[in-house]
Amino acid sequence: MPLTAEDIQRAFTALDAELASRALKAELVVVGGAALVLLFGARASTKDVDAYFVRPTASLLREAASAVAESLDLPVDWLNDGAKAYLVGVTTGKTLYESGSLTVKAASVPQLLAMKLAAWRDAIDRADAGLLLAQMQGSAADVWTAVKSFVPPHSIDKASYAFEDLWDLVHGHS
Amino acid sequence: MDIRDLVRSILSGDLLTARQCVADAQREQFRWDELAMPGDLTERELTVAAGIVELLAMRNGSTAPRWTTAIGGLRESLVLDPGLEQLPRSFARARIAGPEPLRRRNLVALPDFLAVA
Repeated sequence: MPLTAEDIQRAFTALDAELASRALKAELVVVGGAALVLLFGARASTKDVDAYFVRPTASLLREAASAVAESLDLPVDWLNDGAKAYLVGVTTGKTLYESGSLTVKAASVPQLLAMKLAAWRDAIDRADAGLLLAQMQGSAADVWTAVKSFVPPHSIDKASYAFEDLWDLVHGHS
Repeated sequence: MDIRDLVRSILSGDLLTARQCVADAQREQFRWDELAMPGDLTERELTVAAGIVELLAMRNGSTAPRWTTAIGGLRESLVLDPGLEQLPRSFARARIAGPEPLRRRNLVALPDFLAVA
């Protein structure tokens, strides 16, 4: 079964407790579909949370997340940093979860949109990108300028035609 | 991994479940080359199964099972990604650069359809 926003929040609460038991404090930036689920609650997520690990080290976070996986029956890699190859820098937006030992922020809206445009796999990415685009102000050129710097160079062509299609779909032909 | 679940998720437009099936298969290092031909699929479902199995095997760096080579294409094109036709640039891209095992069978999807990190 996919994860709902409540499932993800429950996992963060368990992770917070696990980190506290290890006397660790962690800070994450969520970059994948889970960020969309938590920001907009519009859909469920696959059983993983893609994140950039600010602190502590990836190995310490993986150990704590693995203990949570066991207790909540999640995949062992439910919290992973596998998307870091698709990140061009890291910018933060809204705080998604904050407690004693764990702070989780979403990546900024332009960065999340850039990642969706660079992925552009299917209707899920398009719906997510539409929600993100609705959060941004300005002309097509303004928005593309804000987003483009977060697109990995090898995905610029794809992200460009994806953005043009998305803009036309949301705002009509320019 | 039950390929029938994956195929039926795709054909019903439930791409989140389809992505989850692919992620689970990747996580468990599923052997695509050992997948037996599913027995109770319609012709259309079997065509999608063959295309998807070849695609995922290729992405996994393995070979597809031999039965897929015997499964040809549909007579009319079938879009596997709901709403793709509304996006002219993306639709054109899918037509010319969608995954080859799908295009060969007249199945339309974007180049990174079902890609998981």
